[in-house]
Amino acid sequence: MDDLIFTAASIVCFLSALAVVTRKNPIYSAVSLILFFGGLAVIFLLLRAPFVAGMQLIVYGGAILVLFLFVIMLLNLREEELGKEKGGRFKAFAAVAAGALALLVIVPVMAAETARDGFGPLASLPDGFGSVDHLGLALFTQFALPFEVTSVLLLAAIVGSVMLSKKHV
Amino acid sequence: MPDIGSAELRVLLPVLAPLLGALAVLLTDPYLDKGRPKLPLVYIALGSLMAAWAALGFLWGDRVVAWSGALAADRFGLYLGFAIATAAGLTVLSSAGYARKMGVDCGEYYSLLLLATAGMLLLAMANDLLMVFLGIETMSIAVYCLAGITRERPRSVEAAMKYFLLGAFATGFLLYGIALIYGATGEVRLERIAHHAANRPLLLAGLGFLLVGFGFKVGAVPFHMWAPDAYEGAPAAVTGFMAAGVKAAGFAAFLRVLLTAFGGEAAAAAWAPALWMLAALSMIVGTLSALAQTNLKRMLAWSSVAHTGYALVGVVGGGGVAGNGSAAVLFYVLTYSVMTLGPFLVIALLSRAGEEFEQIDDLAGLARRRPVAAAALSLFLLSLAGIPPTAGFMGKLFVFRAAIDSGWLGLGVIGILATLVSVYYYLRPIVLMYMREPRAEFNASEPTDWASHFAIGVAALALLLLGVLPSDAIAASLESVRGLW
Amino acid sequence: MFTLTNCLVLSALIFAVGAYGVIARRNILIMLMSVELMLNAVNLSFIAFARYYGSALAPASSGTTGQVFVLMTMVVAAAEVAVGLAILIALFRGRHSVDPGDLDLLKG
Repeated sequence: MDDLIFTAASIVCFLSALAVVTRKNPIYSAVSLILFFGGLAVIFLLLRAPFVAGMQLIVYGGAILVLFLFVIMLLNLREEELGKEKGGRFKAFAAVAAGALALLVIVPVMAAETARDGFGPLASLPDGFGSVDHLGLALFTQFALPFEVTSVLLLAAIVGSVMLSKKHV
Repeated sequence: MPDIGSAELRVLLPVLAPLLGALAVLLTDPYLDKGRPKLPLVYIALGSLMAAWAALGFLWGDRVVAWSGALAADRFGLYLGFAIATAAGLTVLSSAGYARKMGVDCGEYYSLLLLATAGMLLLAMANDLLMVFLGIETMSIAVYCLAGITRERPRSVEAAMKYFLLGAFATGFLLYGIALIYGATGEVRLERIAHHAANRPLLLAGLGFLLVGFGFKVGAVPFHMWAPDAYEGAPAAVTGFMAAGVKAAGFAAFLRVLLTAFGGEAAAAAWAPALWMLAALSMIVGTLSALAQTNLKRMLAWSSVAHTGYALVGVVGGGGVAGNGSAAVLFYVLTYSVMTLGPFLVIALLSRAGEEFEQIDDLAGLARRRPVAAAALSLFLLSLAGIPPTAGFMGKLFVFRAAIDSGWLGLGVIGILATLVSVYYYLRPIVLMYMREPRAEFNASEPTDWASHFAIGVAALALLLLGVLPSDAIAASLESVRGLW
Repeated sequence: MFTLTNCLVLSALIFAVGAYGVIARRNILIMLMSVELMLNAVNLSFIAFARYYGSALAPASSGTTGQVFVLMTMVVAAAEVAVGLAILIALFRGRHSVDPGDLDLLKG
């Protein structure tokens, strides 16, 4: 059953990722991105990360996508304001470079011992692995500092983006 | 489970100071008169940076690791922490006048400067890959915004956009590298990664991606494309801060990751050749491209690419625990951050309302109109060229000797040749300033910007001191590297 | 087949697609979305490794690290998008183009 869901979700993810980078109109890219985020959340669920899967939908599918759509609407691009795309030869070059990049990861992944071991049996996962309890406890104990630092990062992002999009000081 | 005891808070002090400063600036800003210079913000920013300095000095000593190993207050991080806090302080001093001229004398400007400083200090003390990532991002996000902060100038926004796009792209690589390293070892703590055998394919792939990510952040060729545009377009005071602070923090983390997590012989054999290429290319491309520039900021950007190469020479020739290379990098980056900030402070001083003073030809005859600025700029350029008795000379000597001593003769020779060629483009502005008739108008009529003059004076004095009496700083850098273990 | 290797291969492929988008496209909005694809691909790797280390013999917290890392990445991604779009709006105000090829004031 897991195999079937994973295969379906990964096909959805890969095709919608391709759609994101190939559509001319950013609206279509954004819509494909929703599909991609959804597919990825399903895979996260299969990987026993229910909390992260939920966050994936809320943060990416909700906040980030709405931000993209909002800006697309705000800019209200006309046809001639979309970028002048590069020719086929440049795109072929980019595709070859990206393929080489993928191989740089895939070859070591195939050779690594993680490939031999595979996932451990489900039963050996600790109880409640990936649940809110489990991650919440980790965030407030072992990862307390990184958790606090994200608030500094968000403050910088808030101050910066407000400053940049204001008309006058 | 850590308890939030005194060690946890103590280690955090240098970061808390600029952070609280940023909050205080944001909270004070609304109560200040709009039309008048916002000096209270400058005082708050300066005060918090001095507090950060004091905290760094207070922590100077044995290695303290806190927050479940996420943060390490050791001499290694604190050493460049001083460089970062100093660069931020001088930038604030120079901004008191400059920000008003550019129309960004507002709370957001100073708070972003302080938040970037907090991110840099975190990065310099980060002891696991999660903190390295968050430190880099906090710093970068604040600096992207600072680059575009003069948003009426199209060139500033354009610089921010280019910097942001390439920076975000690089973040992807850095993060993938961290993921693969985590996948190979199950760890993100630097010293625990070191326990794992380094010759495994997954770990090596992760190291490769990590090098690309760091290469972007410190601006090494071939990952330097953003640097000339970002340096030229960003407002001068911000550019100086970028060139000094971002590079110092980036090198602190880069070197710490390489020495702690990948310091073993097998791992070093994997990254040394890659960094050899980056170092050689950075020195050659940076030097040759700087020759052709007519814009002072752009010339300094290429020069900073070349200087990344010089610092990488020391990383390659590190020679492990016993060698001097890593200490040489620390000393080099310390001197570099002061001497690269200097020229930008002068540019900021000479800029007029809304208009940057950035063409090299405009420097003609500067010595007659603004003798102090011209003398200081000459000193900074001589130091960048590596001419004694300035700090730049001592730094280069230390780095090249360490590399040659540990058998990297080729790299040392490329470095010396690049230095010789670079003398040409560093001397040309000096010749223009002293030998030519004035062409442009200099704003001699404006009231003297004492804060800016003071900042330039401090930078010049520091360079002379580090050049004439470098022994304390060099001894401290050697101790810092030994304190890593 | 639902195996660790397949998850990692999928992650590498999506990362490559995202990188292609950043290199090949000339529309800043789509380049930003491509960066998001890259970060999501990395998240997939993290979660897959977290599942592996969660049930492997490694120290008990190893699996947690991966999942916490993904939460942090999400924060960073959200902050980056906000800043990137703010810069884009500031840029668009003066220029009416989302083509990075039109960014030609700075060169030399």
